[in-house]
Amino acid sequence: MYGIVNKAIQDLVTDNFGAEKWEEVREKSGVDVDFFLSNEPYDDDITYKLAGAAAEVLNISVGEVLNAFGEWWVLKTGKEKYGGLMEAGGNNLKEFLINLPLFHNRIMLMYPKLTPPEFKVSNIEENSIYIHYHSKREGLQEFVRGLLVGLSKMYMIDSKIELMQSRDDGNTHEIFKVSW
Amino acid sequence: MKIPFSFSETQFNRLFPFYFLINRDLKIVSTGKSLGKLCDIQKIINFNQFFSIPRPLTLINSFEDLIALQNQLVVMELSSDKKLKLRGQFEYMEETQEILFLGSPWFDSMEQLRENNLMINDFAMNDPLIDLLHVLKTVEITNEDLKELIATISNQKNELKKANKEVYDIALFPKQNPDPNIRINYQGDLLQNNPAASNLDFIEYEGEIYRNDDFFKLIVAGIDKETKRWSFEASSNKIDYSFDCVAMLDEEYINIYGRDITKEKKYKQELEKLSIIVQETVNAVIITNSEGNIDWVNRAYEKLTGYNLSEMKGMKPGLFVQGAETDNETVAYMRRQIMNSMPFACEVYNYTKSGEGYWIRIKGQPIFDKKGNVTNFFAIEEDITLEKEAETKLEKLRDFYEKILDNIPSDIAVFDKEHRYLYVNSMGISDTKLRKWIIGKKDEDYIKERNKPISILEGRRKLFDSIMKCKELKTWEEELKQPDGTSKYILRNMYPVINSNNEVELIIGYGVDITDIKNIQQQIEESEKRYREIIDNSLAIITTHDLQGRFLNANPMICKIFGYTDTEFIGHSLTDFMLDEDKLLFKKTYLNKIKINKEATGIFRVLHKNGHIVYTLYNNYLKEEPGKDPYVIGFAVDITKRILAEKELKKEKKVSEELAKTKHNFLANMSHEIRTPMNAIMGMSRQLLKSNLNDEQRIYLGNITNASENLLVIINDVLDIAKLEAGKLSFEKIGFAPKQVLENVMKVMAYKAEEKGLLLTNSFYDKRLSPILIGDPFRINQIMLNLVSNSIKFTTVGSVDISCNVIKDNDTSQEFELKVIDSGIGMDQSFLKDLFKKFSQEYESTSRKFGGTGLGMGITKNLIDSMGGEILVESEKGKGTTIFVRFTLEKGTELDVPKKDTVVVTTKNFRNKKVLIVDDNVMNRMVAALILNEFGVLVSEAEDGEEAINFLKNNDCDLVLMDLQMPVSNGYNATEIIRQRLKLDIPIIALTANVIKGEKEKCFKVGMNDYLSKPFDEVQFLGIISKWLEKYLEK
Repeated sequence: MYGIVNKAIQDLVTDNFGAEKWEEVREKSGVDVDFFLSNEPYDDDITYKLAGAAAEVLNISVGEVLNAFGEWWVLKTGKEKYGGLMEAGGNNLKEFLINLPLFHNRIMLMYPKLTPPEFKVSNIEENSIYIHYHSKREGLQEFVRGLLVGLSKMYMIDSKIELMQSRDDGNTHEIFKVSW
Repeated sequence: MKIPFSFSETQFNRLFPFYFLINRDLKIVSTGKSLGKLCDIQKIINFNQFFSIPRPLTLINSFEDLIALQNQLVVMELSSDKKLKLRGQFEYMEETQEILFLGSPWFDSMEQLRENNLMINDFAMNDPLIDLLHVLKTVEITNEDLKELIATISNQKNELKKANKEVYDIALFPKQNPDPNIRINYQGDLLQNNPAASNLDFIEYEGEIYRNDDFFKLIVAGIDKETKRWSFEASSNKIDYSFDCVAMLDEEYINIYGRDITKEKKYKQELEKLSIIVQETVNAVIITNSEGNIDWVNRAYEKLTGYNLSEMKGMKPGLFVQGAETDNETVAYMRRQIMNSMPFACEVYNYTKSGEGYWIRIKGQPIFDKKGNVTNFFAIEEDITLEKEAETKLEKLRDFYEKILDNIPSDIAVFDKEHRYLYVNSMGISDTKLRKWIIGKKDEDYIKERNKPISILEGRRKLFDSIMKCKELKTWEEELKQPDGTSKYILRNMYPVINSNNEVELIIGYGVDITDIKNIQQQIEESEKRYREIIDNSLAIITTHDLQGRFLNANPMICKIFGYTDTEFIGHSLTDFMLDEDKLLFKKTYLNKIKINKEATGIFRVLHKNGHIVYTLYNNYLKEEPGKDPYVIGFAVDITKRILAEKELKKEKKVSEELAKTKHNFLANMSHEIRTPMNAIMGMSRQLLKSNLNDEQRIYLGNITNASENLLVIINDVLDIAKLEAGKLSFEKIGFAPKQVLENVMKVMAYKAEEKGLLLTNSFYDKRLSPILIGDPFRINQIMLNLVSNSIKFTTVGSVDISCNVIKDNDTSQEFELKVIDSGIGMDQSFLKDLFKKFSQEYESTSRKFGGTGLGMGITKNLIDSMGGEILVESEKGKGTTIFVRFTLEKGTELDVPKKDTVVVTTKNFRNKKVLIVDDNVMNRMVAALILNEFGVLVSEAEDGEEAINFLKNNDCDLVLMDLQMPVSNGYNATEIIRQRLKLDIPIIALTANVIKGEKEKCFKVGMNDYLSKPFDEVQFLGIISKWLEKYLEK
């Protein structure tokens, strides 16, 4: 994963709990990297270790860490670093979500070393949409859910996110239903 | 070539959303959907109006100018404020003679996209602008990261430099250290050393000299790897070192830190020498630190105290050696000196380990370092127990003798031959300071010191010299005037102490305070004088006589009272001055009695020289004192006058008693004598009223009746007064209904009030008042009648009101108040106070106007007082009077009310009944007969008792009315005879004017059945007769 993801985790912990807590998380994770370069790919394992350590240090579940991280990714990292891009993604949540597959397809081109997930949309209704999440990575469902929550917050919409199917249940991919 | 494809407008818009089409007139005729977001396309008429072409810089003047731009990358600028750039190319369409622009806006950043209101969807999918912008953003982020990274690295570099400097500075420490620092490995190889260590080529260790490499091997060879730290001493280049070795097991080397101890060692050696000296000295030595904690003690100290140094080290010595009798003040003194870094010297009582006490003399002093700070305290202690013991013994002995001398009630002074004071006791000089001061001084010094007159000095010196000379005791008295004016008397003695060579060694002087003795002597003399004067001037006769009655002494009074001179008395017996008849009794009633009882009181009749009898009341005492003959002291007073007065009094008493009896009899007689005619007057008047009278006669008769009724009231008042004075008025204590009493008063008085046109009301009757009270209803009735009739009497206009109020309601009793308020003439305040005096009415004129004896209020008050009540009067002249009467009476019940024989007059039984009227007064007989005749009674009359008896012997009779006081045979005698001799049980009813206490009882005693006082009420009279007739007839 690109360094920007790890950096985002670092920011999330530092901003909310202080630099010392981050040091603690980093030491616990055993990741001996002082500085994450945003556009350098790092081993996925590093990200998992950091998330695991954060859960341990902050005494919450990994799921909760990922969830929080998803939100953070949209509301802080996305807004700060790709603010324009995010805003150009759509005039509202529905538009943005419809553009989501296109968005990620472009990213694949821009980050050649990235294996980005693939999103598809279906069942587009007036007040809901199905988001299909295809990824080679395991265990990032909650991260996706956090992303969706973050997006809703970005558009200041009160939404409901339901996991309609999951790879855990033997399916090929996850489907989230976002209703507002 | 045929164009193999064509697009619909929608398709074209999807592929080129920012296209526009220009005709030959340079007018824009068609535009892509997204271009419209950038500018208001509807308003665009002419190309030049909205677009300029900066690259290649071209002015578009004609359609051809645009055609010329074909096949080039064209950058256009929108002529709006935003100067937005479009990037693309122009294509000429021959067929339509139009020019097509294909391209898209060019942005420097993603943010511009949004600023121009564009979204991703506004761009064709094939348009890479968005991705380019994204890549740009990524580069930007990467740059930011790199900047941050460089800053981080720069920081770290600076930190590293700082750390390097610190490490370098620390490294200088051992380098600059003048003492050697050496690092060797466990094989003894030198690894590192500081410059100071490189000089240690040869090392002397335990007497041997080693090359340094051999030495370290030697050191390493001997060590135990477990030991972390150890040290040893060695020398090199004449310098003594102490080497501290620290094993660094992990690093596998040993650090050796050397320290120059040459001076220290020398000093230590010297100290050891000193220490031996101190150690072996016989005095105890102790060294403490600056806080007073023990550092060291010598052997002598250990021996003295019994404690070892090891036990005491680091502790305060006081903890061990001080005990119960150690003087706290001395300890505090030492502590203070130590605290202030001052030397000290004192003696103190301490204890050994085994608890034995000992005295030491201790001298301590602080030891200062070069800066003047105390490092230690050093003290030498000397055992002075024996010395102290001897001192104590001596002190005790001195105390003992001084105590004796101080407690002798005499001032004592001891002088040497030169008259210098050697000793004065506390009696001599109480001021302790002065007493100490005077030792070794002479009187001269004392006089100077105390500012005393020099005259004292001369006398004392003379005396002293004479004793020195004659070597004998001298005694004299001294009178010392005191500041308060009294005198102090001292008996002084001075005597020499002579040694074996007959020389005066000391002179001892002592004085005894004889003030008290002197004072007592004086007092005795004075008191003797006083007593003598008392006796001589006494109005009582004071004598002494022996047990035969012979006078021994007498005071002048004896001559005054009996007219004899001293010589005529002294030596003579008392009997010589007595009446002959008394002489015979003297021994028996006086002398013998006083010998037994030791005292006697009585009256002597003594013959005055002029022959009169003098009565003397004596009070004599027998005095028995050991070694002396017993004698009698006699005190007597002349009571002749008193005796004679008593005799007079007795006579007078007898006379007044007789007078009182006469008065009583007079009253009884008066009562009888007045009531008897009153009975006739009232009875006759009543009878007369029943007859046919004209109006005038009726008025006259009415006046007679009123007058007689008033007269009866007056008579009753007078009698009541007499009875009250004689204490012969009796009071009932029976249950009664107070309401009934009041109602009765109202009823009786109603007509009187009506007569005067007054309103008589009972405004308030307290419902709390007990229905039955216990007391005398008749007297209360009498009191109320008196008060109300008075009110009516003295009121001309308005009203009289009675009210009744409970004041205090207890469980068993009640205090209540009867109030009579009138609107009458009222009374003066001056009169009010005499209101209750007898025979008082305010003005004589009042009496004349309103009548009355003026006895009423006096009687009323007397009755109320006798019943334990009280009466208060409030009155204002011209306004009216209010009288309050208060009684406290017990509560009662119906059971306490005596059963009353209801007087039922059943006159139908009277017809033909025989009644004998016995009365010496013809009028009375007539009154009774007239009443009885009316009802058909057969009346017989008798003038006296005897006549009545004779009548009864010969005639039948149903009832006798018996007067009491009659000539020949009175009622009592007659009744006795009727009952006892004639044995008749007919009812006998007493008719009497004697309403004196005891009369009624007397009647019943002789056998009468009832009692009726004259003048009687007709109904009452008939009632009694009817009652007894019925009873008799029932039999």
